[in-house]
Amino acid sequence: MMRIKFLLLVTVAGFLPVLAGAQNNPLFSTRNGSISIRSDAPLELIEAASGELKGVIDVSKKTFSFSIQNRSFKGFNSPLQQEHFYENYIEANKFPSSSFKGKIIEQVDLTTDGNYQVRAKGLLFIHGVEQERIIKVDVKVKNGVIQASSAFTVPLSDHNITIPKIVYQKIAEEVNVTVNASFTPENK
Amino acid sequence: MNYPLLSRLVTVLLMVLAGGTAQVHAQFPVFNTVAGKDQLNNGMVSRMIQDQQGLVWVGSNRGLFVYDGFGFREAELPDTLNLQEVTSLTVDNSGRIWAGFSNGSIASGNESGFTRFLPEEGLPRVAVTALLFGSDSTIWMATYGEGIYFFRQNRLFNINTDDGLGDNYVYTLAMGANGTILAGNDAGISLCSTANKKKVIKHYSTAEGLPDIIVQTITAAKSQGYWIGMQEKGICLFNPLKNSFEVPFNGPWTHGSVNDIIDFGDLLWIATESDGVVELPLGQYKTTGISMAELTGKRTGGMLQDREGSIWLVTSGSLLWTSGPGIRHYKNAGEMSLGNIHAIRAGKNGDFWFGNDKGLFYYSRSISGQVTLSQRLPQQNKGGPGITSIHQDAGGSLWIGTFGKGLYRIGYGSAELKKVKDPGGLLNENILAISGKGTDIWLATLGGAFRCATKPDVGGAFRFDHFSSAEGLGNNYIYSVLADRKGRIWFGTDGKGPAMYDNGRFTGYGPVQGMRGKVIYSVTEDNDGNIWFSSANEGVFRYDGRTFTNFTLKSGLRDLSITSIAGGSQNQMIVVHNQGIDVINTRTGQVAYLGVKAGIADISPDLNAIATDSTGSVWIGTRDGIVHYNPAYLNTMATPLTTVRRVSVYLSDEEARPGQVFPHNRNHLSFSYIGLWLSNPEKVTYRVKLEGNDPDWIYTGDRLATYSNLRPGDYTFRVQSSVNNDFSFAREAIFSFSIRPPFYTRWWFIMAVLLLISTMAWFFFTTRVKRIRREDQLLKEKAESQFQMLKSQVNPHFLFNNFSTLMAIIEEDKDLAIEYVGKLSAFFRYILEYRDKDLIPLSEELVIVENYLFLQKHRYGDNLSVQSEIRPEHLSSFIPPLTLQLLLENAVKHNVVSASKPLNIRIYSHEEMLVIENALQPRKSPEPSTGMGLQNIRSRYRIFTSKEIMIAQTENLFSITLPLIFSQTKKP
Repeated sequence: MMRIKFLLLVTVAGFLPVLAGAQNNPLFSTRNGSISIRSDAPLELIEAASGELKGVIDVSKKTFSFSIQNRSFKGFNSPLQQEHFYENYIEANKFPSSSFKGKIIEQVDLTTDGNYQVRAKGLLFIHGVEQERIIKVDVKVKNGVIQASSAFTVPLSDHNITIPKIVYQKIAEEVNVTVNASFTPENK
Repeated sequence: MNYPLLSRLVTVLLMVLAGGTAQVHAQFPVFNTVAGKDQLNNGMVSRMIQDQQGLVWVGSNRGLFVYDGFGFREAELPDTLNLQEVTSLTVDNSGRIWAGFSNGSIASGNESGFTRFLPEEGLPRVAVTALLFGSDSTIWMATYGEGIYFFRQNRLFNINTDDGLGDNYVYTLAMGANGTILAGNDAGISLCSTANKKKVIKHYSTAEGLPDIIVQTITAAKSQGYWIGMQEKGICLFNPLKNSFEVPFNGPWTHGSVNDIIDFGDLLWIATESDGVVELPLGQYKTTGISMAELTGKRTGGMLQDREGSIWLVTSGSLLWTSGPGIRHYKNAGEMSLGNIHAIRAGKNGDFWFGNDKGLFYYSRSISGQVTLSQRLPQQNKGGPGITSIHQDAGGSLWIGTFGKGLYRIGYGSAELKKVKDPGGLLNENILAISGKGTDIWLATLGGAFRCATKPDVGGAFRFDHFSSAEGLGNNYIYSVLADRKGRIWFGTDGKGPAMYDNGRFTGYGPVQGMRGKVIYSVTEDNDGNIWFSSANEGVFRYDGRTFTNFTLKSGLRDLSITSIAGGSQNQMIVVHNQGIDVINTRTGQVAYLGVKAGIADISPDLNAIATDSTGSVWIGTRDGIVHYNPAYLNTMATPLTTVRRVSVYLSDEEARPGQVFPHNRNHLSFSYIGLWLSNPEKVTYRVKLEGNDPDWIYTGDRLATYSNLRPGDYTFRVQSSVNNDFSFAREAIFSFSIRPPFYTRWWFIMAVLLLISTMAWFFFTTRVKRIRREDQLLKEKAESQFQMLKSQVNPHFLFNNFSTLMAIIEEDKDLAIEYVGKLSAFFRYILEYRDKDLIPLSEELVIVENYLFLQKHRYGDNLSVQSEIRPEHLSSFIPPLTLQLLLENAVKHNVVSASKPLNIRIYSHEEMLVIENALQPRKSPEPSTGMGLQNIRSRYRIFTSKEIMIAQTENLFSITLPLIFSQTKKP
């Protein structure tokens, strides 16, 4: 019984990419996704955002890749705060970009219109440190556009971002990240 | 005389060797249905787990249930998980139950309720097929389609085929060495390691030697390695250290897909998809495994071995309970029923000799599990031969004792059964027991004891020595005989207690030696060399060489009509009676009962039809067959787990916590407790004691104790549970709490009240002292003022002036003189009248002033004038008597009153004040003044009002302002 199921699955899975590939380019991408970060510490609230999130999704392989230039984050409370963020925490000179690459766990067809909640399993690369993460993403597919939005937390300790004792009250141990992006089919 | 065996007297007419042989099935334990298909919401049980309290949690395709021995209760799951199929169950180190569901949900909790597990990363979308807690408190989750998840340090990670997992369809998880995990899936076994955040996966499939790629269950082996249950190829033993796969059975696997495996050490139970439970011995020789008759052909899912050693299993949706391989019944051998066993003798490999109504039989089991029954003594025409005892001597020859027909022997290696004759002709034909050591055997008969050398003499005859009461044996009716390891021979006599033969001498044991038992049915020896006796109705005795210890109902035995005793492995003394089997731990004295559910209550055992084999398991002959008890497979000596389940306050839904402090009026408490003993839940009894309230233990069968009207204080509720009324080995649960005394008996309240009272008393006292002092002062001042007044009124000048005025007018106007004298005397009368009064109405004071002015007018004429402008409503106010008179007198006294300078005095009221005002025209030589007058007025006013008297003096005006007094009350 199980074996039959398994064989069936293998067979069907083998044919699928052929069918999909024959009709469409499986790549969807964005160059201006928005991403915002928020650190809500007892003494200070740090908020910043960027509209330069780049990403690509392969809907047939269910793989994805996102990246962001760390210096594209703007909108800090003060120039000093921005400088601290760039120089002391994210160390943008040493680590100019952050990224998240991986694969969607669910069996989902992102070429069909509908709302999906998927889990993206991948490697989150921040501050030169890679961490495996599963991130919940809400996906809305309509008229060939994939709208993805997600909110997740990044513990600073996961990525070796150390907080000096003196500013401990000013930076939260976990940074909340919100992402919103529209993916359109990539033109060949 | 009572001869228990007489009733079974039968005749033996013929004895011929080896009749036919019969092929029979192996025998298996009794299965009890705990929950049928119609129970548990009509669901099919899929998973089971026992928690630390002893509760059994049962997951079905229609929800999660908890079983306490009395019934099933639905777990309190979050609403979204109600009736959801449970696909995995486990228990964590803190005793919390974790359940995985077919929709990917996970929840954890206990009897009081469950909460969902909701990691930030989200949950699987497919069934959670296994849950496991790693040593580092990592939670492992297997899924059917998404690989494995693990939750560590608050973060959920996934391992799937992208990481090297053999397959994403995972059926089972098992704990590996060094924090690794073994996952059985559709592609074999994946050995996963996550040390240092690196996923290292080693996969084992057919290429590595795994017989079948679909692995459905993995169980740690009692020895090294893991038992792997597969879909088609049965089971194998996987050793990751050697990378080896070993198949433990013979021939092709014919029992179907393997769902679960229990390892008993030398025996496996294998739950299969299509052939029930297969028993596979793990010996030197491989067998094919035997499906248990009762379950053959049925789908059997998960199994659970509980802490008592019992096995729970799911067959075709029903939940079954069995005592496991520890207790087996041999009821039939082929066509023949194995009932009415009178004697039994165990061999070395599960084979045994037995005698019943139909003759003497030899039961053996081949390495392939085939059973052969050989008849050695055919059935007789009239009943069977009365075989009472079977003994194998050191040389391997078999000796058979009968009731009434003497002694028989089968020589070692021979198939011939021969009657043994006593050349001396003394041998009693009623042989009840045979024992032996070395080259001798000893017979217990109804005519004393006999010793016989196991080797015949040259002539082929056996020699017998007879011992009777004449030789020192207390009685000639001997029920049992034992040759112990030290070479001593022990006898159980009818009425004279035990007797012992050593070095040619008999020693009897009676009340003098501390032995109460007189009729001794059985004698046996335990591992430590203690001799044990069972008596007709005094219970069991242990003799350690110095003292006898008696085991009775009080010690926990269930029945005193004991038919046989025998020592078993694990320091157990097996005591057989009509109600089943009691087991005594020979070292601790703890007594356990093998239960009703094991199918051995009401077994009607035969006297001394008992035997211990070389492995220490015990064979018992009964009316309904043979019971085989192997102590190694059962945790017989486990005691019920006692738990206080819930403590509630009367008429309140609130659940109390240990250590809670209750207010004095919430002192009605109910304790719900249980001693979990799943083999025999209804046999559990309790004793409870509320320390602080109960002086002694209260023995009860109830699982609820209620206490009302508890006095304030500290309490500890203690409860112990037992299955045999002996509480010396009982587990205890406690619940401590306090009841606070009412606030009005608390020290701080009493202190506060005392403080308040003393403060009030002090305050009262001091004010009183002050008042008394002030009143003293007042009296003094009053006396002074009276003195002053008297002094001033009887001022000689005043009198002299009045008298000279009188003299002047007495000649001229007689009537006026009379009036003058009248006014003068009225004035003095007023003084006398008012001097004792504190206050008088202002109107009355004005009358005095009028009198006084009348007198003074005659002296000063028009040069003195007084204008009074007092508002009528002020006339009723009060004034200290003679105040105005004194002030007028002062004005006259200190000021010039002449024609050129007439003195005009104004008295008027203004805003509740009385003002006395005159032009200031001081005399050149003032009349001497004491200064007491004004001071006196001031102090008198202070008694009645807080308003002060004001004296104003300008260059030409002098005024005194007096407050009007409207009440006669004195100032506090």
